[in-house]
Amino acid sequence: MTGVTCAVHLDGVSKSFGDRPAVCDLSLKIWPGAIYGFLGPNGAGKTTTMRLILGIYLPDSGSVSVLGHEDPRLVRERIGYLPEERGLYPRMRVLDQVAYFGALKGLSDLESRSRAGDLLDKYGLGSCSQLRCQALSKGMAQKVQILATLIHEPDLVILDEPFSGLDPVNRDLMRDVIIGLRERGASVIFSTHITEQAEQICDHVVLIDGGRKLLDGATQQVRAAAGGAVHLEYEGDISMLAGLPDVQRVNDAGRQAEIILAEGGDPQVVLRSLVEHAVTVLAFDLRQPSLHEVFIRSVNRSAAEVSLG
Amino acid sequence: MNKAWLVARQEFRQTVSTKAFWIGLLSLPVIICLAVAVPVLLDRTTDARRYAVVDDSGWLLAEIDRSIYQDDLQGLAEDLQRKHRQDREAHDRLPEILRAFGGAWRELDEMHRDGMIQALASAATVDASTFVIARRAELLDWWTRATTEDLDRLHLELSRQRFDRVEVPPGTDTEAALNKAIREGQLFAYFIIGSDPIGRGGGRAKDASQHASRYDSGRSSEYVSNNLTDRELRDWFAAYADACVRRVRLQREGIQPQVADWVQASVSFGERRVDAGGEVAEVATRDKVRQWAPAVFTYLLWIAVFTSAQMLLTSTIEEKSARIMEVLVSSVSPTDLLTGKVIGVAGAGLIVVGSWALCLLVGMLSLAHIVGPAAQGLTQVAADPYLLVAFAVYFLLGYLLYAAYLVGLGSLCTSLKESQNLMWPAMMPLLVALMSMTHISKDPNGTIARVLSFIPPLTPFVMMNRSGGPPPLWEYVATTLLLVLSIWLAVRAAARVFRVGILATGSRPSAREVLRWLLAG
Repeated sequence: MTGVTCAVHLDGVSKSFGDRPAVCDLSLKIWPGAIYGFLGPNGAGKTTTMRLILGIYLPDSGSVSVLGHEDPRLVRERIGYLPEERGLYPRMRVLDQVAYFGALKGLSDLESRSRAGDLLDKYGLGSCSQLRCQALSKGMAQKVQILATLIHEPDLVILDEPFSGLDPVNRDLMRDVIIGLRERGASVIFSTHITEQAEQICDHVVLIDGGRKLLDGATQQVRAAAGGAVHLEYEGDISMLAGLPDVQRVNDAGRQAEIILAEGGDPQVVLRSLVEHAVTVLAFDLRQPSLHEVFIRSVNRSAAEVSLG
Repeated sequence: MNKAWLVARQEFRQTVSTKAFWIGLLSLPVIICLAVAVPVLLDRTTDARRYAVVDDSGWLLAEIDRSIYQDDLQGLAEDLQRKHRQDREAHDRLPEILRAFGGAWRELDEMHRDGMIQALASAATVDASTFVIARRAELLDWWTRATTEDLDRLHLELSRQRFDRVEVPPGTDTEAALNKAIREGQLFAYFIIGSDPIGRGGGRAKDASQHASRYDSGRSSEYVSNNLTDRELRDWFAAYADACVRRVRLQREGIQPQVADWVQASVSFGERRVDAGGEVAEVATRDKVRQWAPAVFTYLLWIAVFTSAQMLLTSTIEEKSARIMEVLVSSVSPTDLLTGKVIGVAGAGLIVVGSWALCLLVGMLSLAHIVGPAAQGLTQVAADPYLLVAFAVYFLLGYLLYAAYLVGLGSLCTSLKESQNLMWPAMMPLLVALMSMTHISKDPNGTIARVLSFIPPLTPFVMMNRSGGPPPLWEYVATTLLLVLSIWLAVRAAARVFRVGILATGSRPSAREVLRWLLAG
């Protein structure tokens, strides 16, 4: 990747609130045209990291560089941000609202109004453009918020828990928007604790817990490095699997299970054991561990290190 | 700064679109209109108070009637003169006897006019003019017969339109009949004049009981009504009775009425003031108004600062509770956001204040026609550029100081209810400013006024109020500098709290935390 400037470069960044550290010595590079998923449990430091990238917070130590600038506040107009806690002015009209956020991002009045009109038409909200925001349904309001974030065609888009609270239709819309942004060459960072979504659309995942980065890499690599796993669909009792030396752990969901193999573990041993215990096997599929497994494993390891250390 | 301007514009539009803004804008004009219109309407729609008089003395009622007649004639004569000058058509429609009366009265000089009225109202023939002798009876007859409908039609005013005396019903038990009339609403009240009103008790109930044995053998005077809160009729009639009784008492003691007036005349102190040049000058209406105009401006200032700062608090909390803050601070620096909000709301506040000032000015200009010179003085003072500029400057400075506090407060709270508990540091100085207002108007350069001027949250109100004084220039400069310094500190502190506070959710930060934000910079 030589010759290409990172969209975001955090170098040894720390930030505390009073005595409570929120982010510790975090280093991170985000490349243009890629989708990055920030994974981590609640309170892990994802939002603080995003606010550091946005320049809402300044780091206590370390450096933040965004779109080639040492001070993120200088490139605010090239960043789009959708916070987890998001709202609209209740009495403002939809078109005015989207246009206002465009104007705050440096668009001229005329251009922001014309773009807002186009966007609303494109996403099927043209007929609502003169409604007051308080008259919108929750789903419509969510759409308007997304449009307001993207009206100025930002180079870097930061979405904090973008899928939380969305109905299935808007969830698909959000997914398409994120993929569309990558196609346009923008970098996207989004945080989530729903690993399936990250697995579907992220090129890259960053796992954060306790303000520290636990894992950082391309999604496929991260999963491959975690070893082998079996995806099982079944009827019966599989509790005996936990005792097998070839099995490291079982994520059992009742009728489906992810069986994580121990290093050098043989999936045939597992299959045999299932047959011997009269378990009806509906599907037996050799796969890489899911991001969910990687997530759980990393967080548990980190917790163990903390308790030992 | 461009962003701050965008925020200000948005804030202004948001504020202007609220109901509270329009209520604020229209409240003063509506209150003024109501304050003027309601009493007038009530006065017009109030029916004449019908009353009756039982006169045991046998002479006092006739005397009172004569006095009422005399006062009515006086008013009538002036009204006829005005009509003759200004509205000849209306004048020519009046009955001939009235036109003749008006004409005869106009021909006389000031002193003889009073004599003529007195002669018309009495039976005296000495010094009486031809008109009096020839047509006295005819005029009295018109006065006796004129009904309120006649008077309304002719646009004339006599006391009976307010207080209409009806004859006592004939029969033996008059009081029972009158009581019945009151109960049935046909009568508002009735008076009983005691048999000896001249006696030392005046025939009145209280004194009568004390002195009855010596001076008053008859029964006491009474006022009977089932509406004892409306004392207008009672006071009006009693004033006539008092005047008549006093006149008779003076006569009995052989004292000339002029002597009595002279004995009772008070020592009059004419008011003069020392003008800018150190000379003693006449006190014009304008000067009196000037002394009190600052108080009016101070009230207006107080309301304006209070409502504007309150609007800012509401808007900050609304943005915070609607979760818009974080999107805003990702696009605008907190300082620009704070500046924009403060400017936007100040704009809306100025519109409210401006409309009030305009409304007052228009009100006074239209009043100037009716009230005359007093209102003109008021208009001159109200339009005084010095007062207006002082008002605008103190509004902005006062607003900025309170805005800084309230916007900081707003950023800490998640609901308006929560903010109410923390309002008191802003409310205390506002209350002190309000309570000290009258005292400072009276003594604009006294110790209290001077000390209070140097307390920054009070400076705008106190200094505005003192401008009638006016205070020395150095005090203006010193207090304003102190005020500007505190605004600078307050705005910086507010910006620090705002920067952290707007993103803080959940429970309200503790005082210690806020202090840490303030010190951290």
